[in-house]
Amino acid sequence: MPDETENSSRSHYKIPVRGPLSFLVALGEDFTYTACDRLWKRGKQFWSYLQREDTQAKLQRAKVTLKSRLTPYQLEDPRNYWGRLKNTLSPAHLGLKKAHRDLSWNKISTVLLGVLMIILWNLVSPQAALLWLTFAAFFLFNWDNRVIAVATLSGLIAIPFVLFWENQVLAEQLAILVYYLLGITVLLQVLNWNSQPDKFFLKGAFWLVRKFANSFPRLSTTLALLTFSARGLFVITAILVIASGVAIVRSLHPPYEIITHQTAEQEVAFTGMAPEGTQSITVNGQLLKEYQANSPAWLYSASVAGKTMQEGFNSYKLVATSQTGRESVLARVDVTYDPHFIPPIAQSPIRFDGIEKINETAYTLRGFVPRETASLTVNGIEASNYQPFNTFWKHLLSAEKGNLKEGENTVLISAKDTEGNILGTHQLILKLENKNLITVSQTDLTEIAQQEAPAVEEQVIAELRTDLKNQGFAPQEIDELVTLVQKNDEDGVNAFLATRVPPTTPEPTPANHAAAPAEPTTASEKPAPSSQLQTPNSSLQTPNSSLPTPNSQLLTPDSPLPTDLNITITRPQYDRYILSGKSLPGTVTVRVNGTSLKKFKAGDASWQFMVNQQLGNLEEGENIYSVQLLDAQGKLIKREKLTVYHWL
Amino acid sequence: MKRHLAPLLFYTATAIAILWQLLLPGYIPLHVSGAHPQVFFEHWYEYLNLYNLLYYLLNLILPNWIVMKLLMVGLVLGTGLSMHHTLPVKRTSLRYLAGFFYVVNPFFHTRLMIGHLHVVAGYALFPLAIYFLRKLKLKNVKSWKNLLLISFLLANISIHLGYIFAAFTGLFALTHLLKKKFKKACVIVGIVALGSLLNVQIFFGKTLSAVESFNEQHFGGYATAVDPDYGALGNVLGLYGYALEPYLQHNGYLLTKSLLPFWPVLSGLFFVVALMGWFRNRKKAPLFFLCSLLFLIFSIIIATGTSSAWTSKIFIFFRDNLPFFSGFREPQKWVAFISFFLAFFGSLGLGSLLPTPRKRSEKDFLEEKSSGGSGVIFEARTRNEQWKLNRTDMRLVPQRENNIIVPATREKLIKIRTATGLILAFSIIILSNITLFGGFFGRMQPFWYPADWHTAKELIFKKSHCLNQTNCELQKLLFLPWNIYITPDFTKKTFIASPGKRFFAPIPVVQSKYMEGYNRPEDPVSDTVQRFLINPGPGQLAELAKLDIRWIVYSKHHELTDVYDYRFLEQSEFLDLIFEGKTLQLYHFDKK
Repeated sequence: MPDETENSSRSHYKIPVRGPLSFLVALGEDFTYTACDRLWKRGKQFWSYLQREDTQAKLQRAKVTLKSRLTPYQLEDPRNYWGRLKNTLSPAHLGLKKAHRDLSWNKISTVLLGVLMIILWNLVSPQAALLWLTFAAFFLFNWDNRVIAVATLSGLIAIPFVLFWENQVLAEQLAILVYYLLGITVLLQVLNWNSQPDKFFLKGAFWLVRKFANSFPRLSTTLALLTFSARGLFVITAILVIASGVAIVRSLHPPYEIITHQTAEQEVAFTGMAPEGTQSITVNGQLLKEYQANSPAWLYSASVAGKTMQEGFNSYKLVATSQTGRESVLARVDVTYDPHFIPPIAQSPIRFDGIEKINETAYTLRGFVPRETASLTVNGIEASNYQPFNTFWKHLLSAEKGNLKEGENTVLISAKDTEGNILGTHQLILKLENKNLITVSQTDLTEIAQQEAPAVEEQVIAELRTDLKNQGFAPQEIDELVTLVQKNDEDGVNAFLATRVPPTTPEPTPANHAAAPAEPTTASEKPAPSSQLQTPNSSLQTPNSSLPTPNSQLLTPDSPLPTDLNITITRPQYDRYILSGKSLPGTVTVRVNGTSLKKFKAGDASWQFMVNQQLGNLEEGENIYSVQLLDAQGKLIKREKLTVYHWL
Repeated sequence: MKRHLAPLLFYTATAIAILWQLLLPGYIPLHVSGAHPQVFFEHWYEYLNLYNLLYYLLNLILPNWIVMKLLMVGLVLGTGLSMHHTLPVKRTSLRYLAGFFYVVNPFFHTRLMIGHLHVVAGYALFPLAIYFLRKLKLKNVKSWKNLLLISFLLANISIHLGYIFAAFTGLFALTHLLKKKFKKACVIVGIVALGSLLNVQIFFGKTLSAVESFNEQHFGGYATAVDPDYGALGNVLGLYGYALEPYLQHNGYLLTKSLLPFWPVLSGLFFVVALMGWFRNRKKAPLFFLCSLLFLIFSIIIATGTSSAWTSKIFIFFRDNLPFFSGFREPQKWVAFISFFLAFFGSLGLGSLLPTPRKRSEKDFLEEKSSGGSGVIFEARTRNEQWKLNRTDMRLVPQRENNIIVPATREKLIKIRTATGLILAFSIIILSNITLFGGFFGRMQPFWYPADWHTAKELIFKKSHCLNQTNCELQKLLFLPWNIYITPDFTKKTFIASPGKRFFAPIPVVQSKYMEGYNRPEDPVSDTVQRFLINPGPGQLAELAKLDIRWIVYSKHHELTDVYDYRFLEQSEFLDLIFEGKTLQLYHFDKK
């Protein structure tokens, strides 16, 4: 029977195998069956073992052990260093699991932290983003800040080693990081204390305040009243209301001038105007002996030697007394004397405010100037459309006008008052690159310009001489012209015009032949020295004898050129000139370089034509003007040709 | 007097005190708008703006100079009433204070004075929008409708204030999300987005193309003004900082800070009181208060914008990443929220500082004398008063001698302190903005256009046979000086927007749309004219002829406005001087 049973069970696995190796197959089958059967049985046994209660309890214990790795008993063992370290570094102990749980449960806060990090990462720096994120996360989820403290200490300990390896940069970065982490740790701890029921930090702060209040009762009461109470705020507001009222009234109607001055000099002097009928002036109650009755001005000097000034703040009140004994305050002078005071670098009186692009070749410069500015020049040319005494200025730079070129451009802005005194000079270095004008640098040259104005003038005169020489003027003519320019130009060196008309006596003498070659036949040829020269605005008559040529004659600006049309050149403004002349009988139209003068009407005795660079009819160097007088039929009555030289 | 009329009268009085001589007959020389006889808008979608529509409709029945005055009074009135209504307090005096501060501050001063009336209208609606936002309840459909309507109005009238409100709403919704009020957050965002997007036809008209055209130069030109002493941040906290502030001051517009050297102290005081108000009331509506504080910080940063290094990066980040944020070419508009914060929380702060008369209850009585076990109290004493039982109605009443409550010191003191506090508060607000009153401190005067302007207009009509705009398309008029702002003598030296286009309508006028020195033209017409003005030669005149320009009007006697030299007008042989008046020259440009 047993054999039958075996056979029947075997038949289930029987594989029909034939041949000489069939017995080997049968052996293998047998072995496989046996192994499977055993395994099945063992499995069943193991399952039933797992289901038993005692086994489950064991498993639970095993889980706990797996989590903490070590039993408390083992942890208490001081010799078990490795075990303790492993336990400390386990994810559960480090709080990583808590962190994971917090982050996954508070999804909105996590997203917000992420957004904050992205913003900070982009706006500030990755380092700052990480630090802020650390702080925010630890604060929001109330994590143990000792983790950061450990990181801080580790970093601190690492610094000497890094230094030892001569990696100073890394050490420095590490030090900064440690500093921030330390700050975060302390702040988190303070916030943690504050969130405790006993509010340790607040208690400490209150204890300090109480201590202070007990030590200085009156002061602390006053401070508390002023700072924290409604009454204090009312008092402050009331004071501010009164002060505002006073300030507004005083701003609108200042009772007297207040002069403030800070100096390192041991003596300072002030002056001002005294009202009519002033009999005497007192300074801080002391009679100003230097002042004589009815003088229009007063002068007061204070000095350390005279013991009228001492180190620190000094205030002088000047009071005038009239004949009737009425007193009025003239001024208050506040002087701060500090022997170590270094005067700050004076702010440029000319303020450059910016550049505005009009188009790819034209730009506007703008800025502010002092109120006293009567004339404003940019590179020697009057600023476009600047009106005297206006505080705002603008100037047009354009390639078409010829005052802007590709690459670096130096712009010298100069403001002068009505008397021609330099109020300010400002130099700008601008760069035109890729159709963009950018400011490279700006320098205030006011002091230099004020001190070295003559030197600058000399330099420009030298350049002018070279220009004149290049244009072919004779040395004596150059001298004459330069003398004229220097005499007539009160404002320093400015643009001026020299004109030449065809000589009335064309035969040059042998003496002046070398200096006065023949008239150029084309405009491109180098101009010959002038036979007639004129400088506009010349206020002085120059002796004619100084020029060697008989027909070279220096003329005053308004005196007519020796032409039939009596052409004169006047300069109402620095860069604008007016050519004018008389008309002949029968003249209906006057044309200058082909342009009919619109304002000229038949019968007018004279005509005028304005030339300047902005209009495009005046260029630096040689300019030729052809004046034609035509009658009603368009027939030419008279033609005059002028060659005008213009220098900047 | 009926109680509800009192605020109306109060804010009308404020409006009169502000406008003063500007209410006299004549045009108000506002910096950018208003000083022209006829109201019309270039594009049809401009009429979709309800403010423009109202302006246009009023102008159909009234002359523009009257309409302008009505609108300006209305705006001051509306701004005050809006804030008055929004403040959640029972004390009426605090409501007046809030409304008054919301009107009398440098931001409102600057915007009203220069004529940014759309911004002012939006500013007026802003507190109401906040009010409806706060009052939104999920179960109350009416509150939904209110919020929808105000969002629509705000975005319609002032797109900038609409954007600021939308941003505030976003933050408000976010705080709700944090508190897991998902539904309310979604409803808030949805309603405000829907209300704002109802104006989509306006956004995708001119606005979008304008926003897209803004470049670095625009942002630089309109950056918040930097105070020379206190920097951009000081300016913003003091509610100053309009981009053209130095330009305006140069042109005679007076701001109070020029008179008050310690104006930052006053700003500091307003902030202290406002923050005190925030702190002491924060538990009443924690989400709104938290949101307001965060948005205040955000507004300060954005309003400072590129004028300060530390805020520049943040501003640029938002400009580059937030949709439509680049429309804030002039970020100082965010000061509107700072002003709202100060008015709202400052009034709450003052309310918490002022003593409040306590409601007396039996608990307040310090000593009681009762009749043994009966429980009836015959006499009682509060901290300052003596009370007795009135045997007729068996109620405790204050003891009186000669019909005066015996020790009424505390009550009197409370009244005196309250009155003093309010007087001080109003005084400090008035003094810190003194130049707002009296027609902007007398700096503006009403004006009429000179007779020669009308003569020139008639001449053009007569010679061109021009009856409507399409009829005149080939006879355009070039208005000079070529700057968007000019300072003609007849406006008593006030800087106004170039009035050519509005004055000479319906003749099509070519005039500058750009302020020289701050932005530059990008359209081909302006570019051609500008090239011509740089070099007004015959060749350039031919270019000008291609634009169909037949007339040139040159307004004389103006202060420096641009860099061009207009003497070419007299010299050019192609231009015929048709008419010359005291203030104006009219040239005919012969195309041949």
